[in-house]
Amino acid sequence: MDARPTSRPDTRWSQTDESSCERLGDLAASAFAKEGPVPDAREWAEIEAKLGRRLGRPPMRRLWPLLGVATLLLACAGVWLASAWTLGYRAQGCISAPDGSLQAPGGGAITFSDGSRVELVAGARVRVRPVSFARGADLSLKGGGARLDIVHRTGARWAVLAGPFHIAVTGTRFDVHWSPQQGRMRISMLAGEVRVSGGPLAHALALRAGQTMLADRNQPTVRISNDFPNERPADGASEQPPSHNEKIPAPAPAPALAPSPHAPASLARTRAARPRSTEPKTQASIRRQRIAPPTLATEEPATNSATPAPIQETNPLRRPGSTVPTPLPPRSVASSQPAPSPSPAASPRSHAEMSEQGRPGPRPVAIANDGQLSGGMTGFAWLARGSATTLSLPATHAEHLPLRPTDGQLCTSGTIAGLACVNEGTPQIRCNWDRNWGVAIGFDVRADHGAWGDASPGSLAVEFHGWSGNYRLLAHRKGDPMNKIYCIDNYHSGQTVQASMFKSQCWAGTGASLPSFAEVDSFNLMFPSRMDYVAFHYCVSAVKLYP
Amino acid sequence: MLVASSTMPAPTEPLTPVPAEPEAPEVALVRAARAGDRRACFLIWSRYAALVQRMVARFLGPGPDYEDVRQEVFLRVFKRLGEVRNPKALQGFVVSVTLGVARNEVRRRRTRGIVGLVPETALPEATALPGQGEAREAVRALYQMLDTLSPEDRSLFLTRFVEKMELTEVAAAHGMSLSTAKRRLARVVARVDARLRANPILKEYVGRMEHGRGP
Repeated sequence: MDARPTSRPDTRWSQTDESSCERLGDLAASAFAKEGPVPDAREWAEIEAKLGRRLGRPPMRRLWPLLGVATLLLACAGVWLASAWTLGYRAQGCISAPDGSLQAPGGGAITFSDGSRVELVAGARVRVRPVSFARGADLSLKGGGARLDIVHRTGARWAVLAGPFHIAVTGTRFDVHWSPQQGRMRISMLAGEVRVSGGPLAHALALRAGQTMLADRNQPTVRISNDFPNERPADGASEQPPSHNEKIPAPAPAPALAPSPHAPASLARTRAARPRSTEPKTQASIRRQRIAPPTLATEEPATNSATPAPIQETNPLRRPGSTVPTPLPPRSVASSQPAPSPSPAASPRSHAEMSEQGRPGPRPVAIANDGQLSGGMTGFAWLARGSATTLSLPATHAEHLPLRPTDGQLCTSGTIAGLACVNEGTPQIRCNWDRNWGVAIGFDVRADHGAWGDASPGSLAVEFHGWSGNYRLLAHRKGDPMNKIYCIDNYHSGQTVQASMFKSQCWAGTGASLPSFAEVDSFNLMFPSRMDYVAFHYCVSAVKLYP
Repeated sequence: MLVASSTMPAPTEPLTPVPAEPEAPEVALVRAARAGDRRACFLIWSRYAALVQRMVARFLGPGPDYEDVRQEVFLRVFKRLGEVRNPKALQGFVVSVTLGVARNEVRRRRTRGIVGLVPETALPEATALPGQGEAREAVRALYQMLDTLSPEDRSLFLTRFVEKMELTEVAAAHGMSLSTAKRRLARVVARVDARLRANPILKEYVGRMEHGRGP
């Protein structure tokens, strides 16, 4: 029997209603339910070319290939577009001086859209003039010290001006200090090579990793020493510089990160307050995060929990066989922080030392397989991400569910698209931080989402390891709006922190302090977004609470 | 037990000197694109490309890849960004431009005399629909029927019944008042209904849906 109706009265259709239109609409929607192939870079290139022609501008060159993966597609498109534009930068902890330079009263950092970074010592002043994304920028150091980490790119030609001295940079990492009052400049090479000219130099002088130059504009010669304790250059070159080695009254070169005699006393304190990750100091290691997410290399496991673990970076860009220097000693307590011990000026101490001095030991928080915490906390671990963060680990994760540990660690990896900013290159720069903020591994202190209360610790530490970057520790007070947080910028693994160290504007080093942990209902370790596209990977291995 | 704090407190990180409230992303994006910031234009394109692609495909129906139509949409969006009064309603603006371009394409096709001719190979897969063959026939018939509507009626039908927009959204997308949108939609429903009665394929398909015997 034919199941189809042979004849139906048309009474069904006698009344005009929308139900039939709804059915037809469902049919069309179902037929085209899929989004279809993601519009690719070629289509955007054609749009932009047409846009240029329509507006009377010359069409742009098509510089990029077709890509299959959507994430790589957008990243390469961003790179291609950026290459034709001015180099953007973002300044932290800096204020604008009347002459347009950037001042860092308490130390600051300037991050460029190509991944280059300049860290300013407290009191330093620098003028930034971006030239182009391809060419780089000119930096005029008006005074003070800075650490420059310039990404090496073909065609990049950065310039650093310090008084009469000109430093040509193609992709290097070095410290520079300039004292306009004394007319003295000091350059300490950490990696790569620069060429210094100007002042008393008759011609450009090459400086390589491991070398230090002391120069005085009032003296006819400069001093170059080779005993700066850093690894050899990647190419193993050990060519001696020209014989500009007439001694000038200057103290012996200092080891890495120690105060320079020409540097203000705040250098050491500032450096200790913002310790850099212990990334391998090879030429290749300067390239931190490239646009294309690197493959996940083998991670070095977290160290013994008795000693705080520095950030163990496995740089997938490290060339096989390259020398890896001994990591710098852990800096669990920086001298700028109110040290729990009665010797704040002493060198950083490990947790073991603190314990040995009679201070109660830490109370490690246990993470169960379902993500629930115990041992001073009863809440759950969680994972959250901004709108432009794509997770590859965990492969699938619903944000309303706990984050479960893997081999006892809470891990995440993925990529974060670069920030969308306007007014780049000016102090009025604005970016979409509120949506594209990065990724965070977090902890609710109580299962009922209440505040810590009487069970709160006096201080805490989070141990983690992962790729290098600026990690931020955040805390939220019960009852505060969700976007009101307290944070510690550039937090490093195992760093013991008290509530008062959390600031409401930690990126600027200012703001109100967190009164106590008693009011905190959750805290998290964040990997913030950046100007440029970045890949991330990190694992939290332990949380420790101190009375 | 559900875990709270799934929404991360987003830190505001303005630079100095700083106003208290950061600008809404859409406002900043539109302003930058108006100023000719190519990256802002790219961000707008990347944000709405998939939406435009889907709407164009649903509007025009089975056929070749409508890349030129999509490109035209964005070219007009960028050129007319100055007309956007409320940057936070950027998506609505993109939708209205998409509808306008799609209607123009329908008019162009009518002029070229290719209305109603849908190649077999151009029909969508419709793999989600059981009774695949009948569904494909119904889709073909549906778009042949839509081709007999005016571009404006087609646009109203598609936004209301395919894209499932609310009446207020339909009105805004077509630049008409709510009362006008209601009146014109009622007219569209009547016209579609009349065509439906005369189309045995569609009539049978809808009948099956109504009686629960369809997909």
